[in-house]
Amino acid sequence: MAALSDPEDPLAPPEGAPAGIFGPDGRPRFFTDPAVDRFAAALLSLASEVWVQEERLQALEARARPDETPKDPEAALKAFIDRVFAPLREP
Amino acid sequence: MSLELRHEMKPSLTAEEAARGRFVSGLRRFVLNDLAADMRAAYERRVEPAFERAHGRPPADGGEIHKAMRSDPAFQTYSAVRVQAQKMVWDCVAPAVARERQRRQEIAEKAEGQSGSVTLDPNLEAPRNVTAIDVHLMPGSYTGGEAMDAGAVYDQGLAVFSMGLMGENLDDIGSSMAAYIAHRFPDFQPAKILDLGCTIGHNTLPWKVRYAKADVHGVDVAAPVLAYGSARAKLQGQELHFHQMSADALNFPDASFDLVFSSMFLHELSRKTREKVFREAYRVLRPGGLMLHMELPPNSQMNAFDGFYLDWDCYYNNEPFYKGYRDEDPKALCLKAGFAADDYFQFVVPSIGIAGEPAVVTAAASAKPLPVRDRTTGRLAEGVSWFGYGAWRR
Repeated sequence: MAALSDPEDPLAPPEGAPAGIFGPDGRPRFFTDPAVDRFAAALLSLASEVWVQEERLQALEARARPDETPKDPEAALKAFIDRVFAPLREP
Repeated sequence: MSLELRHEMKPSLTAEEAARGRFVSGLRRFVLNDLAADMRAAYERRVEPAFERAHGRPPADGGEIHKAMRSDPAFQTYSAVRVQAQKMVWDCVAPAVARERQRRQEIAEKAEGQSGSVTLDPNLEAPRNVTAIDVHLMPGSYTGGEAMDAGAVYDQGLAVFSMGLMGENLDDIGSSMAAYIAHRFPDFQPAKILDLGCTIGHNTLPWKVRYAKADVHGVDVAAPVLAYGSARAKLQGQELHFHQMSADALNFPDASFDLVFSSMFLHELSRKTREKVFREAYRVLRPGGLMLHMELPPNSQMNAFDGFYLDWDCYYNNEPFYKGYRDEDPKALCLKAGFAADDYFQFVVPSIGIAGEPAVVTAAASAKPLPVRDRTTGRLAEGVSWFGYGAWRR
């Protein structure tokens, strides 16, 4: 049976929250194995750091080859995200 | 796209920090467009048919859809990425905000002599909906850190969060609402305007821009965002008056404002507090004045899936009153506060930054207001439009 909660208390689970959506640490849990939630977070942080290095590399290359037209940064980022996270998409 | 703030207090980012911000904006765009579309497809292909087989009917509401979606990989993937992207919004701006504390203070002090004010109340205890949780997963919420830190984190964080869809000065909601009111009610010239739960005043400013002669005030319970917002307004040459005050216990006389506004505020309040806020709005309005709220559209005006989609934030973005608010009827809230049924109106206005002012003029002139669009109203995605409602005080 779900614990009775005070609808005025911001720390209480929101009204209608399905059971088990938060782990014992109070954080949302999405996967059957909570370790997967942690790995998902680490994967995204890693992708972010790879992108940072990619931008730095592009800046150096632009300096080394000033005559070449630089890549459109927004398009390059979108292509990077689409490529890296393709396995997350629905088949 | 990741947005670069325009005012002087914007942090100077290192190349790495700017790149991180761009990545987070790009990641959010990927989640809110691509993974969101996948989640809808998964619902239509797998989850809804399975529910119908089990129950002999489709899900009745967003709550049932939420429970049914929990075990689907598309929901799990969308949710895990979105939560982490939200954390990364704040993480990617925090180092620059901390590093630039001194510089920010000096710039704010330089602007102190300009028109405008901030009145803080050290005796005001911030309510638990602000202090007990990290609202929007923002560490320390609106009151954390030193001096104006929370304001700076919120401002720079919103620039990353909004992906350019909240306007160059993060004022698209206020600008769209003010333009709509000005065009739909050209005879209404508010002399005194109040913005409730204004945080850094990003949506307070456009009211001063639209109604330059008006005396414009903003209230919030959190001192760091008010102090920051006041300096932010002064640096943009706008005279605003900020007060540390709770919207459910305003320290203003009866009948002292012509327009009482809020944006994205009511869903952060518990039911009881929300009712008090409506009563206070009614009390401080002059006869002929307007109460106006920009908010998420109510569940009753959306289909069940899109209702579930918006309510995600209630459970996973530390906004515990979000669904409770969206389950309420805006008109009933107004009536309960004392407004008359005939004086209520609601509308949808296209984003002025994306659709342009002519589209707002068209929406304001239309005999029949635009309906809530399930996939774009109140949602940071292509074609965004904003939901507003309010009532005139007799």
